[in-house]
Amino acid sequence: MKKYSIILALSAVFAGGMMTGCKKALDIEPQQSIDASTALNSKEGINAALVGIYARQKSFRLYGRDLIALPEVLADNGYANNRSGRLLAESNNQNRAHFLGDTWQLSYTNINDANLILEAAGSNPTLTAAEKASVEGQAYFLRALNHFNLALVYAYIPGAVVNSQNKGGVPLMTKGTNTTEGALANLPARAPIEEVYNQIVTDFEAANSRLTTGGVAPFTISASTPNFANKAAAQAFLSRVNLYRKNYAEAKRWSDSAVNTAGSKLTSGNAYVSGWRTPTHPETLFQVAFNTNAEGGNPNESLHTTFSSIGAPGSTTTIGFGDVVPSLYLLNDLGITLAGGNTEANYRSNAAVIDSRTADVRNLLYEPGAAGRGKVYIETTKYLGKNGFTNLDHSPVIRIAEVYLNRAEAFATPGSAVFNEALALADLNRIVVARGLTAFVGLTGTALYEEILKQRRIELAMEGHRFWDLKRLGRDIVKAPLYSGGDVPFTDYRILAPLPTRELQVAGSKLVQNTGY
Amino acid sequence: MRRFTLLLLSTLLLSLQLLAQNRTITGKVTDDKNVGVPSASVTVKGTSVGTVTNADGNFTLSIAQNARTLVVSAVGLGTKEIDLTSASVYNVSLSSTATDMQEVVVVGYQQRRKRDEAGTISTIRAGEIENLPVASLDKAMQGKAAGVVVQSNNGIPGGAITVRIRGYGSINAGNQPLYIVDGVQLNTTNTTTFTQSNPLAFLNPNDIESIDILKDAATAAIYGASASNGVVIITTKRGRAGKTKFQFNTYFGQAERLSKLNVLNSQDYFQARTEARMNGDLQSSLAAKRTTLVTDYRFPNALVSSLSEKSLDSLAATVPTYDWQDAAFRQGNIQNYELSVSGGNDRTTFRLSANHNRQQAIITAADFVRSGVNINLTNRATDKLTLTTNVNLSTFNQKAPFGGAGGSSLGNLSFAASGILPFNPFYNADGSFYGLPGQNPASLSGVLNQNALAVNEYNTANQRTNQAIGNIQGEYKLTNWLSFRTFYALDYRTVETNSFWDPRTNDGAPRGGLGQAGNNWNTNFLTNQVLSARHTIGDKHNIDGLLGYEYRKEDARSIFVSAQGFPTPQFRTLASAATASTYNETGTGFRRQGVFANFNYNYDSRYVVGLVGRYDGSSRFGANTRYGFFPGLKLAWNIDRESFMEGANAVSSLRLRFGIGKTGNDQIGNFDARGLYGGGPTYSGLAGITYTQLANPELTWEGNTTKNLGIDFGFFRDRISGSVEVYDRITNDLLLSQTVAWTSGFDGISSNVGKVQNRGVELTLNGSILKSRDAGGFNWNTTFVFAYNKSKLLELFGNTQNIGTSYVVGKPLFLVQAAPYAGVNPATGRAMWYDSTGNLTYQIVTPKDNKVLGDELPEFTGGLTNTFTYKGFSLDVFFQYEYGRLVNDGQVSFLSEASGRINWLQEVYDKRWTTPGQVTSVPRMNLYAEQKNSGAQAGSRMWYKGDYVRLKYVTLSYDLPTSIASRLRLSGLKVYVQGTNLYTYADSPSYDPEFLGAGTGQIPQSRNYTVGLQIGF
Repeated sequence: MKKYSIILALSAVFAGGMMTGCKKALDIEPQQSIDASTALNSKEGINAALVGIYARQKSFRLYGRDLIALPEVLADNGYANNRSGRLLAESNNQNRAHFLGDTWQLSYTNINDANLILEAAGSNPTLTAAEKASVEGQAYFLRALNHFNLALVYAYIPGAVVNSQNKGGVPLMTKGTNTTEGALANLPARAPIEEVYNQIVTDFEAANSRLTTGGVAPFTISASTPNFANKAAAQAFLSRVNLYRKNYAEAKRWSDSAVNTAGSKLTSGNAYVSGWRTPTHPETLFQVAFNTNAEGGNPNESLHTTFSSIGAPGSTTTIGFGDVVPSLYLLNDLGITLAGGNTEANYRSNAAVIDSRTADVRNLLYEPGAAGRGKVYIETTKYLGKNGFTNLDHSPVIRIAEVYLNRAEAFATPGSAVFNEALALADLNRIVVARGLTAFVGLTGTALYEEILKQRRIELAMEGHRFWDLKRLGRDIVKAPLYSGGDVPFTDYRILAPLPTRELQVAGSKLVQNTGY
Repeated sequence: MRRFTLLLLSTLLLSLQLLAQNRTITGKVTDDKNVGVPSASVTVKGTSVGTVTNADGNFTLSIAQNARTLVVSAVGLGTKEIDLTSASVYNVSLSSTATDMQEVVVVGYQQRRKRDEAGTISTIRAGEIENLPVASLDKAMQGKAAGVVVQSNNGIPGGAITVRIRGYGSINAGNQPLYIVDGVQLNTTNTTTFTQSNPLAFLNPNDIESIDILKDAATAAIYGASASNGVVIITTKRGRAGKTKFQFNTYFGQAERLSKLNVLNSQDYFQARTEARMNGDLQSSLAAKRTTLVTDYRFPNALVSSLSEKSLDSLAATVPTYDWQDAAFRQGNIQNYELSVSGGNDRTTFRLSANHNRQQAIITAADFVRSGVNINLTNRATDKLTLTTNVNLSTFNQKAPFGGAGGSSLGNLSFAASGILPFNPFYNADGSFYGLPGQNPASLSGVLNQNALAVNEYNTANQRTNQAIGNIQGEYKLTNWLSFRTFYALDYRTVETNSFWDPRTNDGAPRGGLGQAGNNWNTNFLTNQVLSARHTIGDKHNIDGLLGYEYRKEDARSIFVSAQGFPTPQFRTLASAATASTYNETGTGFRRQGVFANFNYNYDSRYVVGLVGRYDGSSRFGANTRYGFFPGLKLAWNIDRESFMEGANAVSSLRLRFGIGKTGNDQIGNFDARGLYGGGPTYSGLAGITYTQLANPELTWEGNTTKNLGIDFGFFRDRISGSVEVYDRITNDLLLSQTVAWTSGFDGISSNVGKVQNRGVELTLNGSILKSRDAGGFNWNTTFVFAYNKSKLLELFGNTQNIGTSYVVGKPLFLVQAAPYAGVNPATGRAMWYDSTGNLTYQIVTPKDNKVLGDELPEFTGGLTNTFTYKGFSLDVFFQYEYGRLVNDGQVSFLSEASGRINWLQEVYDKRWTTPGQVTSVPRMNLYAEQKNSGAQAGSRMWYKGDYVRLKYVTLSYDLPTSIASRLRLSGLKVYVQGTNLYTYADSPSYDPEFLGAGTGQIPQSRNYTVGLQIGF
């Protein structure tokens, strides 16, 4: 009896003890997360947050696939063959088959993270001056890059605007949000196109002035690991953005800087082709890196499976889908002739066999795929799981070859402030000779200009440029008769992507949808 | 709180007056067969003076002189009240057909007589769910309790089941009820990687004595913050004093598929695909046939290109058809063995049971095997102290089908079997699987290019769940009206998973084999300390109540590793792999604590009042708002006890109930209120962090207020009885992610915004349609269960009137909106819809053209049970039904695609558009999406009515007469045959109308035939 009383007394005490410990009883800390209010107080926290942005760039809605593949299929380079059905609707430019809301969301998340890093780094005593410059430079670079991608997807490009359909640029975000009140008050409106591009240029310039060629630990950069923002990349982007917005003098100036900073990166002949067989092409100034199998690996949406059904040059083993293949029109420009002729019927119906190629080494990056997914098409071999695993390839973001072509175009565009056909031809020939073709002689005027654009198409094919190049020049996209979706004139509403519906609902009347959606 | 103490004190004082002189009574409790009932409880009403009967059913009890009423009850036999006279011998006969009102219900921390309980509780007794060939108890509840909607997510044995009590109150937070087994609040997190699992599958349904479902907030409020979706209280069987009883129970049988999807043969597919090419590529029929035969049917180009169109047709006619569904599905089998031993003496009772259950699925690799033991012990150490323990140990293994438990993975057999192009053979001439990597061809023809039979044969995945749930409890009678109970429980679970992608299969080949292994540990600790009181003042004022404290702590850990590159397919553990590919370790947990009390008063069992309250805190909420108060009020009027009802002989029972109460919901992420940077992202060899969520220190309960009005009735000596409930359930402060502009860098913030209403009517009707006067005569009993529930989203946040298309203010939850399908343009064969103005259009503009079609929640649900008994024979026939939900079955949608990239449903093929002028609903075949046309599956076209009526089971059993059984030295013998899912009437063309979710690749339920034997000795 006494025994039981003791047990009871003990349990009563135990219970009482727990009740008095009420406050602590509910305390528990997360294990996979840290408190946001202190996360960026340390150098390590800031560095890790920066890594977080780069990691998000790998999403298949950004550089993982869409920013590389969609500009090809929405335009006339990439042809979706309905092997898995992916990108078919985009290839036929169906209504709303375009960049999706995720691209908007992920880009703005990157921008907010960059803003918070800029705000935290500015006052952080644990960073040395060099580290601070490196961190800020990268944050400016990433903010600019994401605003630029948003502007390309959702808005017209300066100098190529259909005024009756123009609803402005994209919302500019230059302050970070880190409270619920701030998030609720964030009701975006579209800034004017010019303002957006000014901000992009300002940010890339801010990045340029802070970044170095070799980076600062842990963000160190070498020729084989241009995985982080760096000086040459920032300058190359300034060359591209200024060309796009038709500020040719600035495009020329920054091209000069980029070439100067990058040094002799341009490859030629076989070195160019074999460069594509290594994880990082030697010409790359900046890439989004996919290093471990766990980072890539999506067997349905990786660059590898999107562009190729095989796993090695010359292989016939079916690995991926190879959903996006070069269109007949691109094959023509590449100088590839199919057995049976480059006709639409032959292209669509018969297993592709290459009859002949021109001397252009770039067409060696195209060959028949495997038969395991239906009819054999010519596929690009730029992405073959080059990092040692199927579905694991770096995404090339900017290469030095483009910088020469940017400068050539800046020289050759009629009305350019730096118009100089001789220098344009010199830059053009630097590229074509490096690619195994004979130099052009005496090319001028429209012929010169069009040749630069053609070389640009060939050079940058399957790297996510074509749709932007046509769009910035206000050119119609000629897709008939090959694509069942037909042509897309520049005045067509499908040149711009629809803004995410939910964003319009949240922002109310402040945010305006693009015409036609 | 203070008031409650005062109340306890005053009752204490009152009780002191009652310690008067005692006298001794004796008696015997018997059942309707006049057999002594051991372990029956015999107590003086309104006190805790009492005893239990011995093995022969006899009792002796010392009672106060002024004691007036004796309450006798036994498990399964109900309760009876006996007026005490001056006599000292009382022989009481309990009848198993004791009226419903006399039954005992479990209402949370206590058992109460149903007549004295004013809450809304549905009770399912052991007999109703016995011997059903189901792996988990939730499935057994289907159609048994009004307002409890049970839906199988798929047919995987031991697979997930969705249980919703009175609809969905929440949009973002969980809608799962709280499950309590013998006082232990279960961890019902569904931890699974490679298959679907059911956290309730650990318990053998035949070990269950009763399931009490607390449906209204007034009753459930005793569980406060965990109770907003209702509470399911499960009580397992216990031993009774008397001779030790052995019972052996077994059933075994077969499972077969419910239906088969009728898909095209090789010739019809040839025609369909040829049309798709002609329409899509604008080829001539000759060219299209050639392309089809070369690229799809894999005939050599050299052969085909030389043939005429007629010869091509003859060539196609020779191609055999392979029925992949027939190859994929098989006959499953079911086996179940149980042995239980129960007994005890006046002091100690026990029940031990062991079970082994095996269910082989109807499609390869989803088998379920469970073994378990259940131990219940009760010891009355002294007259005052009772010790109890319940322990359930269980281990079950599930084989996981490739591709998980559904989805469009190419190797998922239940997805691929109906869609693989029909001319693909299963095997090569030498008997090896056709179309594997390394062979020529290295894959099947078509988009579904994996030999799913080989994938399921070579790839393996397993999930083993080990679960131990145990509790110990000590109850001490402080006085004869006040007792203290201390309760400690542990619910410990490990889930071990492993999977191997064989290097011989398409997905395994590029990796040289992929091995994956994971472990999850969950420890769920619970304790409560409860003071309870029961007292009668005078002879008409009955009071009882309790006051308690509870603490619950749950911690979970998991690790997951994968590696690839295996030497040969025989090596399947990670130890043999060449490279590690992924690894993960996580930990999480939550804490809850609360103080609770209830107080019940009834006057002469006529007027019943119940008050319930709980002050509850959860670690999941904002630092400032962790605690909440959850009150409940219940009133009942037992009209039949009124004197004015004395003449109304037709009415055997009648009562009116009303309850109003508030409960909470904290089923959100463990740290949703916190502002967090999460780890996980990696880049270029560096580890990163990402801003995952903004802090909301004010985040708090989702509240749920229910008003319930109920009538219980019984007519003609309860030949007809039942109840009607009407309720209005309002969920406010919804735990919603309030949408913010993506430009902020976030998707939403965890907030308490929005309001949802669920209103409904529930009806339960029991009828004893035919009742024989003689024992063993012909009886026919029927139970009809009906529930109507309709949800309505009352408000969201700010100006927001909708979240996507599924949640729109003023409309039901899970709303289905789509542009109405207008069939096919007879001139062109292209799909058309009606736009917002009612005109025909090829291109839907969403959301402008959307029309409300209905919603995905059933409006009416329920079941109908008919039981016929004659002598030892008993026939149970049970139907269940659902009406009013819309379904969109991904499987059907895939099999209706116009491109023909996977096989087609015959029904769709037969209706396809082929010639101008043809009026039909199925668009023409086309290799590509039609130009400037919305996708052919868009709009309302693929939405079907999900209504169904299903003959869920029929059981015929025979009990050997006691006289014969005893000659065989048995206490009982029962044999039975049972069939489940025997017949279904449904509108949708799916494998199974019960499915939930996308439908794509889900393993359908099976039709089962079992034979069973139950022996007692």
